[in-house]
Order: sequence, then structure tokens, then C-alpha cells
Amino acid sequence: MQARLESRAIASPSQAIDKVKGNQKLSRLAFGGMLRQLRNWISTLHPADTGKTIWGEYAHSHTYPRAKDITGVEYLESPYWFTINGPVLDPKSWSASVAPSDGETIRLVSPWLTKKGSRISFKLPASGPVTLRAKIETIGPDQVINVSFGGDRSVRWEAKTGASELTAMFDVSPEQTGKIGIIELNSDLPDLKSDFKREAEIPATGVRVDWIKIADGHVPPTVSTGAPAP
Amino acid sequence: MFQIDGRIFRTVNERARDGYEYVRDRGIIVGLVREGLLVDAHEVTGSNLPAALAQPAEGRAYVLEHPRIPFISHPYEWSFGLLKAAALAHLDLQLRLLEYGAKLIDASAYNIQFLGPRPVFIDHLSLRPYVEGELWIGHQQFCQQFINPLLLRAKNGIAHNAWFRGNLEGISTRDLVRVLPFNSRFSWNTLTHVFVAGAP
Repeated sequence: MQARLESRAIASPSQAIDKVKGNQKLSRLAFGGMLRQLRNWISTLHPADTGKTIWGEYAHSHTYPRAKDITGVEYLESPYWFTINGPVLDPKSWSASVAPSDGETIRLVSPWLTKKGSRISFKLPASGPVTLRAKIETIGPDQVINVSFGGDRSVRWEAKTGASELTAMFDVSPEQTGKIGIIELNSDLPDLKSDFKREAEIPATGVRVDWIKIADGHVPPTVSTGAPAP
Repeated sequence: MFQIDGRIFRTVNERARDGYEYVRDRGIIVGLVREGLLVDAHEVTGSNLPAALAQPAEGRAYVLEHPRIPFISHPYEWSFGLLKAAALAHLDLQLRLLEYGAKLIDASAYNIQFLGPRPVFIDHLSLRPYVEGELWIGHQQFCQQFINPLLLRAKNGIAHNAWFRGNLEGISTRDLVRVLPFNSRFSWNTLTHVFVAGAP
């Protein structure tokens, strides 16, 4: 009825207005039913199969392969899959992404850790000896950073001012597989800036993890949302 | 709509005041925002108003501020999947409004934007009280801007984008009837929403 009225309205607008002013009604029940019927119908519509086009493979052929496709390991479901615990200078300013070119490196642009206890957590998917290497940028004085794994191992890193590449050796037992590793700042940093405005391109002081790399042929870690061990 | 210092404002004039207050005072806007069907909005007054809107203006009843939508897109740019998602979101909104005793005064696809992959309705002033028995005013527009473009792709394998871009009001039902395959008449929905309306 609705469609027919519209068709007549286009053909003869004045008559249609008179008719609508008259007795044409669409009850709430009928209106709701029509909307639901439309919804059901539209949800079943799919594009017609038109065979191969030049765009059919475009998204696949113009997208960088997922890290999982290279290594068989899921790195990050989401760029926000690593846990930041403790105060950071600007919790909104960080992001993380994967650099899968060598199949071993997780590239992070982490927030600047500035308070004792600020940490980035990650998870190793396999057991055995692994070497964890992290490039850490330090602005301000030298810093002590704790790296622990599974809640019971800890390695001290002394991060010099500037960019440091630091190494920690772990022997991940089967029981520790999938447990949370932590890179944690071990001291408060002085002279914090209260904001991370554009005019201050770098904060006065802070520690940031640029990347984590697993050597010795091990699969790289999954950076995880799991809450770090207390 | 106003964009001032990166903030997005809209004014509600006196003519639209009653309709806006009807949906606001019944909690309809808050409910829809909570369900993710409608983009958020809050009224801005006094010192929170930007300088450009601080002076009272004749006919202006309210100033609303909306969160900024990161990327604005249009239905002629959407893929089939996005257009379909927008159509379903529009119908979901209509059904929810009907439960609230309200309706949409139009069915413009341009009133939907995407937050990531999620469609959200952006035009608060399209919400009005529902009057028992009235016809669906937006039906023809819904056909032109949602159903017909979707059918063009689903039945003919032709993407709607170029046609829609050439006619920003959508694909007219009369035009579509001329190109739809004959056997599509045997679908009840296509028959009632397209062929009946598009019959010469």
C-alpha cells in the first residue's frame, strides 16, 4: 500500500494529498511489521556473483601479510594488546605495532614510563631458552629497569641515557609458557612534565621500549592484555 | 552545523524545539546513545559556548555539541556491505523509536556515519513524535537510498556507487524497475517495494 500510494503521489500529487488527508492509515502494528519484514529481507541480500574482477584480489594483494601468516604466531590482535600498569606521562599517546619483516621482532611505540612500577607486560608462547632483547630509549639520567618473567625471575637492566639495546636471558620452563613477562621501571624519574604537548616533542625524562626481539630461533612473544603478576 | 576550534556544534531553532524536547525529555536520546544507535550530544550553555555562538541569536533554542566523528563518508562511497549495514541500522533505529513513541521524519542515508565499522545515526533533529496511523514518510527515500542501490548490486551485479554519485538522492525506483531482471518480480519484497512503486 505504501509503495502504491507513493507511485500515485508522483503521478498526481494533489489527489494523493487529498487521499492522505482522508482515510489512509498505517497502524503502528503494520508499520512495525513492515520495518521488521524489510529488515529480514535486507539482511539476506548479498552481492551477485559477477565473476573475477580486477578488484577481487585487490585487498589481499595490496595488504601487508599478517605476522601470523609469516611465523604462525599471533602477535597482536589489536595494537592495544599490551598492558601498561602504573602511571605514565600520557596514557593516550602510545601505540604498538608489529614489524614482521624478520619474524622475530615486536615493534612497540610504548608510552614513556616515568613512575616506579610502570610496566609493559608480554607473554611467551613456547618454552626453552630465549634471549629477550629490547631497545630502550631513555631521556634523562641513567635508569634501572627490571625485567622479570613468570613472576619469579628478575633481571636488572641499566639503561643509559639515550638509546640502549639490552639483553636478558631466560630459560622458559613449560610451566612458564604463556605466563606474563614484565619490563618494569624500577625507580621514579625526576622532573616530569605534566603534559605531552606538541611543543614538547619529547618529555623531560622517561623510558620507552622501542622493540622486543626473541633470538635463538624462538618464536616471538605475544604481547598480551593479561594483567601482569602483582 | 558548526565546526569551531575542532569542536562540532549544531543549533536547534525554535521550529524544531518541540520535537527535540519531546525526544530529549522522554530519555529517548539518552537511551539510543547508550545503545550505540545515535551519536552522542549534549547541550552547551553559558561560558561553555564558543565565542562565535555565545551571543543569543533570534530563533535559536539550543546549542548541541557532538563528539567529532573521525572520518566522514557518504553512501555513494560505501561498499555493498557498508550500505547494507547502514540500512539495517536505520531500520533498527526506526523500530526502537517506534517502541518509544517516536519516529524519523526522513530516511536519508547521509544521516548515518561509521565509527569504525559501526554505523551510527547522527541527525538528532530527524527524531519526532510518532502519530498513530500515519504513513511512513521516509519510505520512498529509504527505497532510493538503501533498497534500490542494494538491489542493483544483488540482482544485477552492478555496484551502486557511480549511479548514486551521479544522483545524490539515490537511485530512483522507476529507473531501477527498467533494469531489474524480470524474474525479480516474483520476490514479494521486490514486488511490493520496487515494482509497485515504480510502475509507470
